[in-house]
Amino acid sequence: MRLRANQITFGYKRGSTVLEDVNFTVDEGEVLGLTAPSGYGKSTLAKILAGFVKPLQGEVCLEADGKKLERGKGYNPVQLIFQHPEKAVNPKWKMSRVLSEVGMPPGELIEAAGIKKEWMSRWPAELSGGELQRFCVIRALNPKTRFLIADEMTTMLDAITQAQIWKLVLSYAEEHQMGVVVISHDKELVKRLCTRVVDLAAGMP
Amino acid sequence: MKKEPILKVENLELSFSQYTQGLKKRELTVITNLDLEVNEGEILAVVGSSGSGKSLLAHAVMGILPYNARTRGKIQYQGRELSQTDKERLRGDEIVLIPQSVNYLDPLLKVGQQIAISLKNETREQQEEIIDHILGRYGLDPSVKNYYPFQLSGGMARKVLLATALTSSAKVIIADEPTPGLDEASLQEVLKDFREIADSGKAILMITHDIHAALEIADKIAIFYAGATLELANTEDFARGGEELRHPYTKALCRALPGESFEAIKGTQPLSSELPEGCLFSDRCPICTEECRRARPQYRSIRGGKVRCIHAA
Repeated sequence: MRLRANQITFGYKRGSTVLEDVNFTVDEGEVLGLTAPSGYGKSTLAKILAGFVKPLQGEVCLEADGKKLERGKGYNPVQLIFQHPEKAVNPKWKMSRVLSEVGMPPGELIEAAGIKKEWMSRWPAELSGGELQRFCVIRALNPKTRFLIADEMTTMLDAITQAQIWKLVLSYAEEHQMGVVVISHDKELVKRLCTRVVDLAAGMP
Repeated sequence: MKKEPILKVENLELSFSQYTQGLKKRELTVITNLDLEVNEGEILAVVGSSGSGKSLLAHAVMGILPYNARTRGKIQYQGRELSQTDKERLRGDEIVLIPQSVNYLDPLLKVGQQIAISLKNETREQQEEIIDHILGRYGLDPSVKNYYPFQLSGGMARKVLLATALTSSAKVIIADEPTPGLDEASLQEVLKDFREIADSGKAILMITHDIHAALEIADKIAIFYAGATLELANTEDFARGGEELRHPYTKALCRALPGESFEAIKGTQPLSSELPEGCLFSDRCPICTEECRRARPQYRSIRGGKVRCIHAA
């Protein structure tokens, strides 16, 4: 399976575009880096890839064997993970409910993420950002997820937690042939994780 | 004569009182043994695990903790202990905070006006000029000053937050995560500015996860873990894979960098409600012994730095 961004153009205001004619593809099992200076529309592109925002022109499509797949209702095969986990969980749900929104992930995965049993009965406000982000990552690692968009996923975390979470995601991606798009400013991190890098700033005004 | 540090935090302890069930309350201690000091003309970087109390420290110094927080220990500014009234008087003028989150911008005020808040003594025209200049320096268009915060991207908002503090004439700048979301060029510009500001005689406390940025400009680095200062290191100690570092946690942190071996140790930082009796790092430490589990190690000086570990030599 392949995720294709085809001539994506987007702007928030009439007459000015943020993204112009962006083209790239990600194959399953591939880890692609996406870089650009701030304000170039990286996070906007992440939302477009996940289908939360409609581009003005162009389209994002999933292809298998060169044929376009219909994206119907139901589970979104392209999952987005945000920079701020505290904004991505329902503050009025306990963590066990947050985690099992689309079915409880397998126990091995929960254990591998270093999630402790006691955390399940806590409210989101009672966990730190690093702890919350583990939940956000694990709940997106569903067999139905074919592509993961990581928008500055570990920027707010310390180096050890960052390494822990990426190790988990990479081994999962390899095992399940999931494609990953890494959006980050950290050059060293992108170099470490990605097999290919797309620079949005290249070929833009 | 030893110079008196401009800002000194000694054995800070911070706890929140929480309602658990009904009217039952409990004290949750989140910071146990924080020590640090910054001299004029110096940049102290504070790194450490997420949730180790780095931002709370900043808020404690500024006096903007929530009502249910209680602090013990000393916070001294220019050799004098600070009371809440002192903090309220000093903040914004002599001590400024660059907040961590973009949510700290006023959503109903154009960003130009927010930057102008710290320019009290200038005329309208001078303010405009300074604002245009500082926006330009970080690669932002002058028209950005007429934007509202919701119109900014993460990186742009970060630059605005920096601009609000860097234009002020404060003596101590506390920067809480000033770098995430910044691209390489702006990052270099910001770091250069920090160094220049420090060299002009001000003190900067830079709270960050970006160890590379910290190493580039800081004079000393304090390492936090689970609400305590575990080590005070010099920047040179991080060279060669961190062999010179004193605490096993700092070594592990150094090895986990993407530019180093990207190795992750297992486990997580203990929750503040279940801190171990002994060394805070004992359950993840490769060289932990019986003695470590018995009591909290003292903070002691070793090889030009400080460490809270009984095995360090």
